Order: sequence, then structure tokens, then C-alpha cells
Amino acid sequence: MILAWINDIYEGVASTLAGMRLTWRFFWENVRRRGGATAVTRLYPEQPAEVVGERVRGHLVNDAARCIVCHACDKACPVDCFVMDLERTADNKPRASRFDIDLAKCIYCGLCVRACPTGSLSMTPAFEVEPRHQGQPFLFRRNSAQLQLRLAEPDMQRLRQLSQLPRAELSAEDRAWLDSVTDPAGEHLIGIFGLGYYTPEQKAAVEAERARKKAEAAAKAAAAKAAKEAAASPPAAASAAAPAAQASSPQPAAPAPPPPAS
Amino acid sequence: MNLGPGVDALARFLAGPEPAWWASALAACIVWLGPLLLIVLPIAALGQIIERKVAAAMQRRHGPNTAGLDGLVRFLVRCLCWFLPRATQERLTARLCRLPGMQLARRLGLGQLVADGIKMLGKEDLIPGNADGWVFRLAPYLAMCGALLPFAAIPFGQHLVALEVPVAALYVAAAGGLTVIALFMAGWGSGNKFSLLGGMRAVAQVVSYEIPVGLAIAGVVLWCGSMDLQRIVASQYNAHWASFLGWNFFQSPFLALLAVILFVAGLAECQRTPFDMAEAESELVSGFNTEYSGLRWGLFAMAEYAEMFLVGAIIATLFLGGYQSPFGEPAIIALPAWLAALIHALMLTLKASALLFVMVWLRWTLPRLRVDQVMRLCWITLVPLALLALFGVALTMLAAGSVAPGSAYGRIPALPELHLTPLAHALAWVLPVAIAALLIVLARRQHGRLHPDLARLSGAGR
Ligand code: SF4
Ligand code: SF4
Repeated sequence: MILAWINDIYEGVASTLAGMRLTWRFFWENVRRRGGATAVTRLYPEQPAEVVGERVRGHLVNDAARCIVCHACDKACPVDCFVMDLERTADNKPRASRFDIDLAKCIYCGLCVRACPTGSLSMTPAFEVEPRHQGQPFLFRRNSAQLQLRLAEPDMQRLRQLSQLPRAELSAEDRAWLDSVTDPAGEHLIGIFGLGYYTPEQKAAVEAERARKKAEAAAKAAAAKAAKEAAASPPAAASAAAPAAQASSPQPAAPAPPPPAS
Repeated sequence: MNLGPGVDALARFLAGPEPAWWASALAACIVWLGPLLLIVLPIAALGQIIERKVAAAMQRRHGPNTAGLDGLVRFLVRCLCWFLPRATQERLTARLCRLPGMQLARRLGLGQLVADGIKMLGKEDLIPGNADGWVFRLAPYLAMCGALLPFAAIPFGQHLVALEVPVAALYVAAAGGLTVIALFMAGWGSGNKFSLLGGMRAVAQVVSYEIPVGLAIAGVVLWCGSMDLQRIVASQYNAHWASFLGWNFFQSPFLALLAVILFVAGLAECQRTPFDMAEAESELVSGFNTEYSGLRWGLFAMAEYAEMFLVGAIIATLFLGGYQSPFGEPAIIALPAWLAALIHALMLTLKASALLFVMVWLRWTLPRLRVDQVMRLCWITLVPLALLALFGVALTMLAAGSVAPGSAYGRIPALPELHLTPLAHALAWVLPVAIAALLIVLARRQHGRLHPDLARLSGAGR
């Protein structure tokens, strides 16, 4: 018993020391190569971050051509990100004349995407808000007064172009216009594509993805249908399968117990 | 009134040759609390920096420890030089931020401390609806007291001790025990089941671990024949240039064992990982900390670091020669008093910081123990080991027999000391270590081997 006790202590001390040796190795590596050299994490705003997975929930995109301005996303959103206005096309179809998503408020919960009946709203893997790393500046800021501003399509094009240029290269007129519609210190972070007018490349990519998914689903449905038909056509097989199916699927046996007397 | 030379001198300075009671009290506050706040609060900050840096390096990640003071400088420049044009302010800020000290601040992450402090002060001080009002409010201050009071008796130098009492060792253990009450008050006062559970766990743990702590202190008291920490430090004085040979830690393997036991038990008393089941975040949502916010929570956090430093300082005082330098202590003693005091205070801080580093190291190595494991470690391992070691100390003293008059150390008079010839000293080390090694070999023979993973990690498998 005494020996077991001693063995216990020895193992405790030895395993502790083994662990300490491991942590010491990491520590020493980092000290030798100057602070955090072997770190596996990033100092995010200073160093660019990476997308973790392809299913990451990033900034929202709305395909304005399909949006019917039904406000389902607006109602689903727990933090009221949406600002939208309805207009009618010449053939009396509903269309968004304005569709802003305040990404500064968004918690990326994805509820709006699920609520959308037409599938026009979707999430992209883009998540970068830090201006230092934005590949394409598709985000801008607005203050509360500017949030009420509507921009027509040509104005959106202009905004997209101007916001991509360095400020110093803008003409005085352009700069003044940009300042009137955006505010770098504003508290509302709006995605340009959030207005439904996203760049042609983005649109092409989203469309291609949708077509691929549609084709996939169609192929799947066709395959399922073919299999069903194949199973149904030989009558012998069908009659053999029927009792088995009956046996395996549990019948709703006894009627539900009567509700307790109140 | 006799409250120590410093207090009396200050009281006389404040209110004439026969000072009134209020002058004495005021002087006592200044003399006792001043050094505490001057030394201990920066220590809490130092502890945080050590913790963050070491944690980041050991876990291979960047912690919240790269913030410099640039933002603060910009803010101050804006506030103080508001009359200058903006461009000049920016230039001034940039110039100031290029100073070499600022670089160091960035490396150390000092900005994070400032930010944490501001955040803590700015947070709402929430008191839950069914909290036990004053119990809840008082607890953090009491925790801070429990962490600060023992420092009064810990000598930082020959003259650098606030409270010189003959039973200082007892006082330190007793005053440190105040934390238990604070933790329990926090747990009870929060009016929250999780907090209460955390408080109960904390009490069970701290009270249990008082016993190995007491036994370890008793071993040193037995060896040195005094409870006065100054005398305990003095008795570790060695006139040899390699003065660390006189430290209690190197006197006998039993004392070394007691030092380790005191360290482990002290770690448990601080509620640090691996002994932090009282505030286990994953099960108890931080235990007694749950309901605290803002400055009160900050006081708990600060108390934790102060307490870690306290444990380091106690171990250094009892086993590692206190404020003495490991090399050339006789030369330091001969220096002018103020210089010696400075070096001594620095030495104790260094030793305690080194022990603090080991605590942080352990924290980032070991996972949290379960409740039963914590209790098992205390009652089945530490207490019997401490008793054994205490017995061994007594046996060594009996075997050594002769008592020598000892040598005076600075202003502290000579204490009768155990006289160990070099041969006896070597024997006192070799015999117990040999017996222990023999027992371990026997135990290993009989009971299995190290887990293969552990063997691989420790390099024993190769
Ligand atoms: S993802 Fe953003 S916009 Fe959509 S419902 Fe959630 S918070 Fe609202
Ligand atoms: S995005 Fe979808 S849910 Fe939102 S208004 Fe348009 S169609 Fe309706």
C-alpha cells in the first residue's frame, strides 16, 4: 500500500513535469524568436484574417431582381437591419427601389435568409469590415440622416466607382458628392451589394452557383423518379416488396388515449 | 505608544513629542499602508503582465498583450494641447510615440492594463436583487485585506518591515486566512446557487490546504527556533560568498520537500489553476465571481495576484533566504543601509516573481482538478508528506545534536543555530534522498509504468 502511494506521487510529479516540459518548449521557442513568433492565432486588425470555412456566414447579398419587398426578412431580423422601399415596375411587378442592410447592426444570424420566400437573400463568405484589408471596398458608412437617402442605379454605379478610388484622386466635385452620400464616421455600415445592385462579377458568380444547384437538384429528382419507376414496373418485385413494407412500417395501432377528464 | 520605530518617529513629527492617538493611527496608516500600496499594487500589474505574456507564449497564441500606449498619448495630447492645430498635435503624438519607452510599452502590452483599468472603472456596479447587501459589498475589500495584511509582516529588507512581531510566521498564516471568509461572503452574498457552490468549494479547499501550509511553516519554525520572520531570514545567512548555501531549502531534503509542499498548498490557497475549481467557469460560471462586476470584480482579480505574490514572498522568506542575495551577501550587508535595502527589496521581489512565473507556468500546463482530486491531493498526499517531512526535520536536528551560537546578521542579533559539519550536511542530504530513491524504485517495480503518452512527452520512453 505504501509503495502504491509512493508510485502515485511519483506518477503525479512525473506527469506534471512532463507537461511543464512541453509548455516550456513552446515558451522558449517564442522567447527565442521574439514574442508570439510561433503563435497559431492572428492579431486580427493588424494582420489579415482568413475565412474559416466555405459555409461561414458573412455579409448579406440581395438579388434585387428576385426580391418582392415582402418584408419577411425585415420581420425575421432580431435587430432591425433592413431599410427597404417598394416601387412598381411598368407591368405592376413589385421591386425594391431601395434595399439597405445595416451590416453594423447585423449579427449574422441568418434568420432573414431562411425567411426569404423567393430565395433572393443569401450570405456570402465575405466578412471583412476592417478597411485595411478590404479587397474590394463594397462597404461604406452612413450617418442616420444619410440612411434615409435613396440612390438610383446610376448613382449606385457612381458610388461604387468612386469608393474604389483613393480619395486624393477624386475631383473636388466627386469628393463633395461622395461626402454628401456617405460619412466615414457614420454608425451604419451598408454593403453596396446590400442595395441589390451588386457588381456584375458578383452577380455572375451567384447566378452560376444557383444554376449549378438547380441542375443538381433536377438531376437528383430525375434519378429518384427513374429509380421509383424501375421499382414499380416489375409487378413481381412490387408484390414481394409490399408485405415487407407493411411489416416494417409501424401501423398507428391503438387509438390515442382519451384525454384526461378535467 | 510603541508601534515600531518608523511609526513613532512619524507620529512625533506630526504631533510633537507626546503624540495623540490619532497621530499614531495616522502615522501607522501611512507607514504600514504606504509601502504596501507602493509595492503590492505594481506587483499585481506585474503579475498580470507575466501571466499574459507567459500564457501567450506557452499556448502559442497572441494574448491581449500587444496594446501600446499610443492611443493614450494621443488622447493626452488632444486634451493638454487643444490650442495647437491638429497637424501639430499629430506630429507631437508621433514624436512621443517614437520614444524608446513607448516601444517597450508596446512589447509589454502596458496599454492593455490602462484599458482594463478604465474598463473596470467604467463598468456598471451591479448588485443582484436578492444579494445579501453589505455582505456582498464587503467581500471584495475583505479579499484584498486578506491578500495585503500578511505583507505587513514580511521583511523586504533589514529595516523594510512594517510590523515586526515575534510571531510573524503565525500572523502571516492567520491574516492570509482572511481570504476564506471573503470568498465565502462573496459566495453567500451573491444570492446565487452557483456562487454559493463556488464559495463552499473555496472554503472546503482553502481550509483543507491550511494544514499543509501550517505544517510547512512549522517545519521552518522548528529548524530555525524562532517565529520571527526577520530572525528566520537572519538564520539563513551564510558568510560564504555563495551565500545561497545557507538557505533553508539547501539545509535538508526535508526542508526542500516542505518548500515544495508549501508551494503547492499556497497555489491551492490562491485558487489558481489547477486548483481553481471554486471559480470553475465551465461548471459554475465563475463561482463566487459570477455576480461581481466593475471595480469589485477587479478587486478580486487584484487580490489574486497579490496573493500569488504573497505566496512567493512567504516561500522566499522561509526557504530561499528571504531578501538575501544568493551571491555575495556579506558584501551587500556592508553597503550603506539605503543601498542594501534597495538591493534586498529587489531580491525578494525577484524571488517572488520567479515563483509567480512557476505558478503561471503550472496554470498553463495543467488542467483543472476535480473536487475529489483536490481533496485527495491534500489529505492523502500533502498532509502525510508534510508530517513525514516535519518528522524528518526533527530527526535531522536530533542527529545533528550540537547547537552553535550562530553569527549576527546586520542589526539582528545572533540566534543559536544548529551546527552541521560539512560531512553531516552531506549525510543529511544523501541518506534521505537515497532512501526515497530506493522506495521509488521499489514502487516502480511493483506498480506499472508511466502512461505511454506521458512517457513519450517526458522523453523517458526513448
Ligand atoms: S443575418 Fe443580419 S440581417 Fe439577417 S436576420 Fe440576422 S441580424 Fe438580421
Ligand atoms: S429579401 Fe426576400 S424576404 Fe426580404 S423583402 Fe426581398 S423577397 Fe422578401
